Amino acid sequence: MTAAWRKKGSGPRAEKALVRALLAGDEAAFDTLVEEYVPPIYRYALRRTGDRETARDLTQTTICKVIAKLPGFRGEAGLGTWLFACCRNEIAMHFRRRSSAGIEVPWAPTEARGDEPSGVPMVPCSADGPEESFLRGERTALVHQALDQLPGHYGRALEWKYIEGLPVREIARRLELGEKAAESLLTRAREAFRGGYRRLVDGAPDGSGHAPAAALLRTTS
Amino acid sequence: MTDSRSPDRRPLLGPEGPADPDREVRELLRSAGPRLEMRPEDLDIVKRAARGEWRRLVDERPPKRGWSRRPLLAAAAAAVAAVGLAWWLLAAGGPPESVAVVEVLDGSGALAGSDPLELGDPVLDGASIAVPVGGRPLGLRWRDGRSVRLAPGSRMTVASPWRLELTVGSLYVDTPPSVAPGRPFTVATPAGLVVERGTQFEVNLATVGAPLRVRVREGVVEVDTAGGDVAVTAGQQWVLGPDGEGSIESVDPWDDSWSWVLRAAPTPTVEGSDLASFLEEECREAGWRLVWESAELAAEAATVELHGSVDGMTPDQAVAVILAGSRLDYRLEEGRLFVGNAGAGP
Repeated sequence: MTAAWRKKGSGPRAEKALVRALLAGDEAAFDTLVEEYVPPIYRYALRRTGDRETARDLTQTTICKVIAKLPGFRGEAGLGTWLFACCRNEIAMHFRRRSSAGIEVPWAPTEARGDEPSGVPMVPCSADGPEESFLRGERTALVHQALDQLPGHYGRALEWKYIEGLPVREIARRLELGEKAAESLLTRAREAFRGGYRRLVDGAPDGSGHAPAAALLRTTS
Repeated sequence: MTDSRSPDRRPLLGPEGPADPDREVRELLRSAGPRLEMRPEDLDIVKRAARGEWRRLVDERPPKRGWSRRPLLAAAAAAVAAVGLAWWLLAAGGPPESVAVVEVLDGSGALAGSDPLELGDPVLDGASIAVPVGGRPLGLRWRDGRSVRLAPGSRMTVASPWRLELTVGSLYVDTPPSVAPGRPFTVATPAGLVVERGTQFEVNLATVGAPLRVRVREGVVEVDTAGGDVAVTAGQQWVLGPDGEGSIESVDPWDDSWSWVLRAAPTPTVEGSDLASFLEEECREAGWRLVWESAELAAEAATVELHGSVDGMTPDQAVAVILAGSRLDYRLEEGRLFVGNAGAGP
């Protein structure tokens, strides 16, 4: 099947177009849905459960349930917000099941034990004390969460620029944009990231239902 | 934890905003490092499941009509299209209809004509499907819910939504009880027709021109050859001899000769299923008979909700995994799965 749909931009209009294309059976739209939304949902589940297998299963359940309900998508909430909310429910059900089965539920499983093959790698050891190490891990989780809540190309562009150190020309090439358009996109991405990160740090509703950072801190006092 | 720690958590983005947003964002991202990548095999598993759900959704949706919203545009488009469509229908006899989707493909190497099939691909009316000798079995989900599986080294044509033509190899049809009775499903071979009557059966032509063999695991099929009609029932195998006469033998519905069928079986649904239904489904798939220690236990099992996945497991592995998490014991003996309370010696 040839791709009749091509992702253009981000935001509610682009998401509605994506859903329309999905309902029409467009393969390119399906690929976009998986590539754009599955990895962030998986990372969200992984941060909360600390186990790759569980995160994969929860991601699978989430995406399948949302696909089944796509005909009812009206666009009042963003597709990403909907997916995160659904995933949050699945995670809550997962922990309820474990709890009712008498399995100890880890507190705020933002990190997993590094010795578990299926676990999330821990933040590398350093000379920091446990408090600094905890805060650094928290900040890492919040940065990654803020990136995951951005449109996929925003998050990738920021990582390319600031982590991989790619020049704007290369980022433009990867995004199939002109250099000026790429610079403009990076500016928007940076602003969106700053806003999202600040909301997470300040504990404002993030749209994903993730426990606000301040609340996480309060639970330890 | 006290408020005095808050500045530690947001040293780079204070309420007033950073002085140099580029530097601040860079330092935040560098300190956090790249996000964890999803393992390709995990992404593949999720994608396959999502594709199956998506294809089901798309296939079940009625075609969208735009008459009420844009009547003039639609009418104009229809008028323009009518000329071409009329010509096309006259020439080709109508557009091909999607009769099934590819449900199990893992390394199958299956082809529709000369095009490789992919998971979730539609199978069109008239398609010629082949699975190479070195491949793995192919599983197709028919639109009405039946499962059609093709063994390696097999070739068939979808002559219509209700008729398959097997040229060579083995073909298995599983029509679950949930499929509404309708037009009989027929497998045509050079040696004769096999007509199902709500059942699980295999049609085999080991090589081109080889004797026809029909094996039935559940229900009844009618085999119609030049030598006459015969009904083959569950647990029977019918083979057409070189003299044109057929012979019937008994066959175990659970032995290893059915293993290729299991390799093309769809993954059973665990999440949200009840234990009794899950075991019944697995027994049906494997050709076993489910025997409960008591009716009360069977009724209780129907109230136990399952969670998780048995993706990639054979029925015996899946049963072992699921029952390991319960207080039940089981044993598998001569095609019968006995299930009872632990310690009660089922």
